[in-house]
Amino acid sequence: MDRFLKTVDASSRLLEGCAVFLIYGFGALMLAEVFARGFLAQSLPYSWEYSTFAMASVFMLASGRAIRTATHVRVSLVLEAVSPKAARMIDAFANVIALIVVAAIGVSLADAFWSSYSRGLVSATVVRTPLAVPQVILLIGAIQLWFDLLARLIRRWTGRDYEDRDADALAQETADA
Amino acid sequence: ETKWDLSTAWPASNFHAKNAMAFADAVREATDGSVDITVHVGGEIGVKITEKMSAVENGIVQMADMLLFLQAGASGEPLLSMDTLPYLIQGQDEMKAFLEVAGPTFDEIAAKHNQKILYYVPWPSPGVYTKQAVVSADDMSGQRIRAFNAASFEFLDKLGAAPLEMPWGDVAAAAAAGTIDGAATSSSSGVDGKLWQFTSHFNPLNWSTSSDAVTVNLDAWNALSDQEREIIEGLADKMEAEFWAVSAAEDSGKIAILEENGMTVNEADASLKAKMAEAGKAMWADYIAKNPDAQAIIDSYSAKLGK
Amino acid sequence: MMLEIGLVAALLFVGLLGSSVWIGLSLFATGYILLSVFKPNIPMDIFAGKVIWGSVTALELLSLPLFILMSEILVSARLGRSLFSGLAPWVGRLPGGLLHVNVAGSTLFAAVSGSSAATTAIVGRVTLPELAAHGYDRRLAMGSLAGAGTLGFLIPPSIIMIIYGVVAEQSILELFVAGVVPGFCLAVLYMAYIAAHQTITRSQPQIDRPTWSDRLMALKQIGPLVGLIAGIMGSLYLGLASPTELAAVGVLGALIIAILMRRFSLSAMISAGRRAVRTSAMIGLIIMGAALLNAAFGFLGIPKAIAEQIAAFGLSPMALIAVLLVFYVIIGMFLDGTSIIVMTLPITLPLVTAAGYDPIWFGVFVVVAVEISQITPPIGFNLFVIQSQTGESIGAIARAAIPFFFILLAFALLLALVPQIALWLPGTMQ
Ligand code: NA
Ligand code: NA
Repeated sequence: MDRFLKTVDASSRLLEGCAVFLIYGFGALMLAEVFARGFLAQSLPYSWEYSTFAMASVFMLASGRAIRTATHVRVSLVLEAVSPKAARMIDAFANVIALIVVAAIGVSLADAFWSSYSRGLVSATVVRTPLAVPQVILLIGAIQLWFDLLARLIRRWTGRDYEDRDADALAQETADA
Repeated sequence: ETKWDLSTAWPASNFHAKNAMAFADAVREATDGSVDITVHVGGEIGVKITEKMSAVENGIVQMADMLLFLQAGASGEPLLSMDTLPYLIQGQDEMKAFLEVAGPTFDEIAAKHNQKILYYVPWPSPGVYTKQAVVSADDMSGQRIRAFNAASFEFLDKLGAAPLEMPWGDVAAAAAAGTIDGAATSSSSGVDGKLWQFTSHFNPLNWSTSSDAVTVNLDAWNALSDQEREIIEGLADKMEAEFWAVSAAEDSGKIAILEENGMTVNEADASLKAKMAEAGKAMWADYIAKNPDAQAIIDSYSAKLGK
Repeated sequence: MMLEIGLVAALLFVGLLGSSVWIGLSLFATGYILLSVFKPNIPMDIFAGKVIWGSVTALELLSLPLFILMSEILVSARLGRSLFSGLAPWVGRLPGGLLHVNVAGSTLFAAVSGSSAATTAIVGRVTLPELAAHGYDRRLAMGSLAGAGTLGFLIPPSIIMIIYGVVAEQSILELFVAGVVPGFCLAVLYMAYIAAHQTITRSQPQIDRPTWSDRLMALKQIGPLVGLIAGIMGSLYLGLASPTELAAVGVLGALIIAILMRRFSLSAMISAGRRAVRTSAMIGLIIMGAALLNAAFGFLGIPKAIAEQIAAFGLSPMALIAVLLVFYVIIGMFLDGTSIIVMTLPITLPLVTAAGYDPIWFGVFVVVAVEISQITPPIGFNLFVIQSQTGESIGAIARAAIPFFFILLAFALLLALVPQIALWLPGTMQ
């Protein structure tokens, strides 16, 4: 079990790392467009399109880690009002619902990916990017999110430390030091 | 009673959206309310502008008003973007001749995607809005102009301009600040966006004419009674002509509005025309090389018009 | 039928959100179930896939993650602390003190960012920890940030104004200009409230009287941030970057500041990036869910039906505006700004222009209504941003924002009484 949880954590961090690379990357790409257009009177035709694909990938790839670090927001009114035991039950219930909803998101994204891949669909711009490429990245992010939710449920239910807020605190401390 | 949803990408004030609503009203009236079409404008129901054909195919909506060339990528049908080729189709008369030749192919494509084309409505032809007059080939050189689709990007590039992509919402501020020199779009969109506030010249280069098509899902269509189908087809035939007239009036009316607001409307001189013809023909050849199926259509159409 | 749909939607909403299901997922599930039940013919897996893909690849969103990244880099460079120690000698003894930094900061960043959520994220990341450290009232700190963050839409550039301009066929430039005076008026109202609150409650932490040399020394600390804002604005007005691209310029500027202040390290930039992508993912998930829910409402025609009902009343101009304000406040609880405009404008705009109002004026009015929607639960993006920054509950943040909700409401009515607040400046352009 611990091995499973560790594997999920590791891949979650890895995908978050990819998202960090992508967010800096598309920032740089937009700057490159600004520079090319302003100083070389040239435009990089792929800059906008790749940037939106990178952004979508950032959203999904970091989503699992956002669950793990309790960054995704929720209405905690009821959780705070009831006994710890009841809160644990409600939280587990919410976690199961989340697993079902994310499964539906995953199926939808798989569907989008598969139809783009099998029919060779491309974007409607001059770049003609095969849509299956960014869409498979989104799908991977959704799968990771699902496993992070599963790992969270297991941790919560077996009395392990289920939210990794320390990561934030640590980063903040290094910033403040 | 049949209830259909029709999705159009354009806002309620656009003439395509108004046409679609007029069609829905006419169908409701002629069928005594037995076919009730709800028109959803803009981004109201989350169907992207490039995914109209696919949305009809999958039965997400029963009808859609779609800009044909935008469906090429997301439907995997490159032939749908044929009308963006420069100099192939210029104006409504040529569009009519083109559809006579290409119509059967488009019908086949539609059928392959589980739908049927009811009618077409062309857009006014595109031109370039710029801060300085663009008359000659030299004027065009290095102009940073926002392109509106893949073909216009390639075409402007071949003309020596510096085409670029940018969200439409950024164009006003970017042109006002001098980040870009202008934008390529139709007279109609130019008036909607009040482009005279930051550009002063319009050159209606008329290098291409593109068309919207209104289609209906075949499952939904076949579920109608024979009589209902007959009524709708009759209306589509009759109203198509009216809608084309609306589009023509739109173009001339909008150019007049541009002039009233102080824009200078220029015409291309011989040097620019020559360069445009050269660029256009080169793009035809590229396009046919990539899409051999287009050869027969383009040949028979250009023979017919002597192009 | 409409009643039935409304009831099911409300039950799902309360049930899911109440049992603490994550907000983005609750929205998604509500939209999914509503469509499955009331539009059973739609192939939901295909449709949901298209809606997700369309919503997260929208060009209008591009600046949001980058502005979040910029603010995280600024936090890593400890710019918040510099800003506060720089401003404290100047405003620390005024009524309201450093709380005004929330409003002033939001006003400034609103002038470079097109979205309210981004403005809130940038300013809050820097100010909230510092205000807490200086001992200011936590509630007022969060509330004023939620309120002031909404200026992101009113002060140009503005994504919402662009959408209004496209849908209503109005000049985006005129709308931008029309937003300037109302934006500053609103900022002044917020500051007045903060000053009054702190004077009456006497809860403002007191600092020693600063000397003039303290003050001059402090200016140096504010320098980098002023330089950053000037750089971002400069790149827009000098014609280098388009409004969306400003965010990328901001990231570059923040990195340069970090390097100049010798607070740059690769590991710090990576952890800033990690925090930024997580916050982006949080917002991305809500955007996805909201897109599906909005599509469901669009398909089922709920906002349209209500707007048509209002049209049927045949109200006097002032009553019409009052009713529309109530209408927008209510749908603003559940829908996002873009959907509010796209779904209602085809009906409300003709009503309003027929009643004699100017479409540019109505644009400003609708933007204020959209700003209200940013701070009303259950769906209020400013609340979500502040929750992710403070860990407070949505309820607590929404309660903190109530005074600012009323200020916005009163301001919307003031706009109706004195349309010149919005129309004077664009009028001078003609
Ligand atoms: Na703004
Ligand atoms: Na709200």
